Amino acid sequence: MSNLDWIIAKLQAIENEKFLIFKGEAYSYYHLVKSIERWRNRLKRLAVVEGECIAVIGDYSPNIIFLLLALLLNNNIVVPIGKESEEKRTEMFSVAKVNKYFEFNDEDNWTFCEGSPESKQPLLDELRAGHESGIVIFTSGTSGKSKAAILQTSKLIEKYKTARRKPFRTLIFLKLDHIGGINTLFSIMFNGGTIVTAQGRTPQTVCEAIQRYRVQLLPTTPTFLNMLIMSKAYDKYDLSSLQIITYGTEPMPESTLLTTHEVFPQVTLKQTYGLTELGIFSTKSRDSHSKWMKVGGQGTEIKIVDNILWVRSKAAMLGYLNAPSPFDKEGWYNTGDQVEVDGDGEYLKILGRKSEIINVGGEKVYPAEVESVLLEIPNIKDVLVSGKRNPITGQIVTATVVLQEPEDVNVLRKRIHDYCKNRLLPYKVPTLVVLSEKELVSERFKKIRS
Amino acid sequence: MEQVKKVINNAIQQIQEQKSYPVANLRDDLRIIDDLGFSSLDIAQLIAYLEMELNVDPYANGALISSINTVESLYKLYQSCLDKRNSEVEDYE
Repeated sequence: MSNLDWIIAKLQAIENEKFLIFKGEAYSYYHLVKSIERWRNRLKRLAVVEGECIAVIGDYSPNIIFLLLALLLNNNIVVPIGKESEEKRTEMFSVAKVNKYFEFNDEDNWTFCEGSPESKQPLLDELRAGHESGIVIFTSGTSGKSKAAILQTSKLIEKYKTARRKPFRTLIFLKLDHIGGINTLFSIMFNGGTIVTAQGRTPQTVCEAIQRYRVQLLPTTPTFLNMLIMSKAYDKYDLSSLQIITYGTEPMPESTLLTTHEVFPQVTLKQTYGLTELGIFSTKSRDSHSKWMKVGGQGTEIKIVDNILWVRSKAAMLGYLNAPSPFDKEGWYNTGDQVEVDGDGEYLKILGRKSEIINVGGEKVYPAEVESVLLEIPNIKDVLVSGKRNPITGQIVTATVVLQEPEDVNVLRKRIHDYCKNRLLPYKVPTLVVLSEKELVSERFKKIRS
Repeated sequence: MEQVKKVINNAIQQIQEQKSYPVANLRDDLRIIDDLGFSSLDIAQLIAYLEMELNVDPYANGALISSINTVESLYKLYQSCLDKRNSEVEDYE
């Protein structure tokens, strides 16, 4: 028995609807239910038992979705992992106490391996005691080490038990190792919508998928909208099926919002707001060209203290597996986001975060992680990593370097790029490298971040 | 215009070499995304390089992302920005 058995009943009720379109092939909800069943039998044969932590490695694919749902129904703790370096993956396995893992290739074939047998951890044990399943999502940490947020599935999807909105054919953008990707999957599935995957994330491939499969909802980022606007790909395809574009994960530039509205006057533009720590909650934009929005909805309360947004949510994570709980005694979470509130206090505008985190197209980068990799490179004596404003990706990662011996800056840039590409995800690799003659430490021995 | 062209071509080439992209002859009508195959990070880098080399930030001064599409559109945008800045300097003098 699982606390989530209602899921299958809900999916069976819409078994004739289309669930997923992947590489041109369509899968119905009937297929989904059958595939979950098949995977649950397979899990039994592979001796995957309730309570174990299971990593699922790979990009979006039918089998990954089927397996993820089978594991949740089996009361497992799922650790979705995308394309990461070997070193990073080892760190994630150790933090999330991964017992076993499935790894998928681009053809959706999988291999199954044993991890570590031991997985005692107070928050994981709490889930096990309650026969609950969970999802571990990694978020950037200040020290450069990722923090592992553990979310209880039943709390996360409670709202879908009853609520129901119009089903949409939705293009999938965010991956399953992001809270946004998990959110999109559940929201489409429980509303009977269709997931559409594109062959790549360029403006052209995305527009082609929208045209071919008559996509209605496009959840995306301001950076992608910038690329779409620049490429003018929207002129070459019939995008008349589009009804809603949602955007989030990074601040929206006013000019991008206005141009998007001009290009798609019939489409509703809607801002989303979410944090891994807080699970899923809803937002409502005032109108398509406005950054004012309402945050909240069922199970979510907000308050504003000194212009900073605090949220208390029933869907919030239980805590971090490798860091102290960030919630106060009453369960409130300080988002760190500065907000502006309108006259009657109904709508608010997110102004951004006052911190050293660099937000590159919605992906968060902590300077410390990049600095520690750069310091491994020969001839680099000291380095300071900071964010710089950029009209395409919001911010870029900039490295100011002090050298041991003089070196041509172009040679250095190439060396840094080649070294980092095996150690850091592309958005973390410094986009701009500049040389400094001066030492980077101020008198108070604190690095100077501009 | 020749000076701006040179700086822009140079910046594009530097990024292509750094990322090991195929380096073909640059033509004015090549589209930055569709033909050069630049990603959002590459374009972000190009704009950062140009700001450093030419000392102008067109987008902070109201230029729209939609105004750049081809290599030629980059030349025009940065040249007009530089012209505008120079005329402002003259006014001031």
